[in-house]
Amino acid sequence: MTRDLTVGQFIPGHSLMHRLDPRTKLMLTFLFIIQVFLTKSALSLLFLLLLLWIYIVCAQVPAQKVFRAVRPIIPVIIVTALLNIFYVSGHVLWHYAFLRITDQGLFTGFTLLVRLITLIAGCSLITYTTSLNALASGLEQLLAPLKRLHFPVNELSMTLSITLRFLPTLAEELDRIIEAQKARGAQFGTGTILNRIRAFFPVILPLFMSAFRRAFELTNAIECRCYHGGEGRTKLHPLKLRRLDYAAVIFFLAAFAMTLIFNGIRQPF
Amino acid sequence: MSALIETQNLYFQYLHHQTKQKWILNGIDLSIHQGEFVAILGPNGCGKSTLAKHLNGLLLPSDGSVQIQGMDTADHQQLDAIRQTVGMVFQNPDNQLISTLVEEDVAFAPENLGMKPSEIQRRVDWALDAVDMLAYKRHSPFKLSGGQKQRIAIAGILAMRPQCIVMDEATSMLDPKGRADVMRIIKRLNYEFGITILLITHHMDEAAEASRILLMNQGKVVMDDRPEHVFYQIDLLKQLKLDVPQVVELVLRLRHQGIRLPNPIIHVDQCINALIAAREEDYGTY
Repeated sequence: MTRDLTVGQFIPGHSLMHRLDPRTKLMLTFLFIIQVFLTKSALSLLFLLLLLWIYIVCAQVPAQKVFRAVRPIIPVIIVTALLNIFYVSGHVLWHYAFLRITDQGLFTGFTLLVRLITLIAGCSLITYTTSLNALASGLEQLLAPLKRLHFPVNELSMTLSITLRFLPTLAEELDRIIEAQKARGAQFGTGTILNRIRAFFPVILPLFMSAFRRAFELTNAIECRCYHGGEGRTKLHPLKLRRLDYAAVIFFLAAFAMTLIFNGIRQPF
Repeated sequence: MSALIETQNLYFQYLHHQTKQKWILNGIDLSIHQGEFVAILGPNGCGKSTLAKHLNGLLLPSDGSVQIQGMDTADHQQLDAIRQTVGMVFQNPDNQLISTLVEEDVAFAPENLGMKPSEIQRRVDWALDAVDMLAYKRHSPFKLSGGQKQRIAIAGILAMRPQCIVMDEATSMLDPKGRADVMRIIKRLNYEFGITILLITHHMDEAAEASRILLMNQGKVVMDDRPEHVFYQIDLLKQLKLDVPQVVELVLRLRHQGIRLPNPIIHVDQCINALIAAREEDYGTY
């Protein structure tokens, strides 16, 4: 399970997507999410898939990796899609007892399936193409206006980037602890629910202990490197918007408009 | 010449005014000069790491004082200057790296100090070059070996251009290859750049590289001498449950068997040369 974790799995590279300013990427990801939710017609759905393909190509991330990000939530997606199939009214295609499948339901379910997969896949691209520090400093800059309200923006972005940085480390550790406990005869995933929950204590406790130990050592390490909040901090690579960023924004806005247009065109259903 | 690091009558216990526990550091007077290579040895819980944490103000003395180039670590105003002078590398490289990009990680300290991007870049490149990791500048640290990660952690400290680096068991989690690489870098920093090294270690072969050894026990420095003197205090080492270096053990046994060997032998190659010399003396050259 932990191997599918995409957060913090930056793949270094020099693709178009890699070279975008993190602020641009954050904003555009946000725009993309809205776009996915607004996608309604079959045509705009097709267009969305085309866009996803373009983005994956621009990011030069193996498609396999992108869909690995989707895998852990496939059950959720399927359940949601199924519920939609049975609950949406329309022309009845098949029925048994209280279950009815309608053409509209089928379409809505399928749409939802595609939209959710696109959403996750699209969002995973930003974590694959942006280093966590870039992501954090992008967020920091975007939230900078809040500083005037005494909101600790720098500290928040530091906390965030450290959290993201340690997720894979802790995931690896979790796997190791599970293996170690299995080697001592612990059994996971058998017995009653209560037993199953109880079986996870010997995993969670060591994980917590080790997380705390790491936190102490990390605190010392960043203090040794003169960290004292965001005050007076500079950057190795200060963020700078370039022509590429403006081009990307224009492209995304155009794509957004296309989705709205495609939504409006009369649908076959 | 004034010392780089000077501790006077240093006592320490966590929350010492509330607990009646005995001192973790029990009156340490120490001075370490620019360019020295000092190893600190001692059994677990003898206060080695606690002492180390006093040397750049991570912990403050309960009593006594610690001065770094004349700056008192208790003076909050000078903390940045102190931490730039004395850097520290810890045991687990994973817990010291804060970024997913090598270059950005090394840049962390200069960024905190508010340097110009061009100066940060210069320091990052210099520091990575000094630890032979320049080629990995744009890599993610997680795919690297333990030794490589630890070298990046060292570069992260080097980027502050410190006078002294304290290695708090920095090699103890590494495999033999990683350990050898890190030791090679440490020696280079000492010889080529004149950086003072304080090496806290359990490995006698690492301590043998130092020019001075501090032997600690129960919060006190019990011996402060050159390695060739410290290593032949067999009884003291055994009493402190420390390993007697293999070479020393061998030399002592050979002497016991009547083979004459010259006195301070602490390195393997010294021992080999001495044995060859002894043999030539007995049988003539080949």
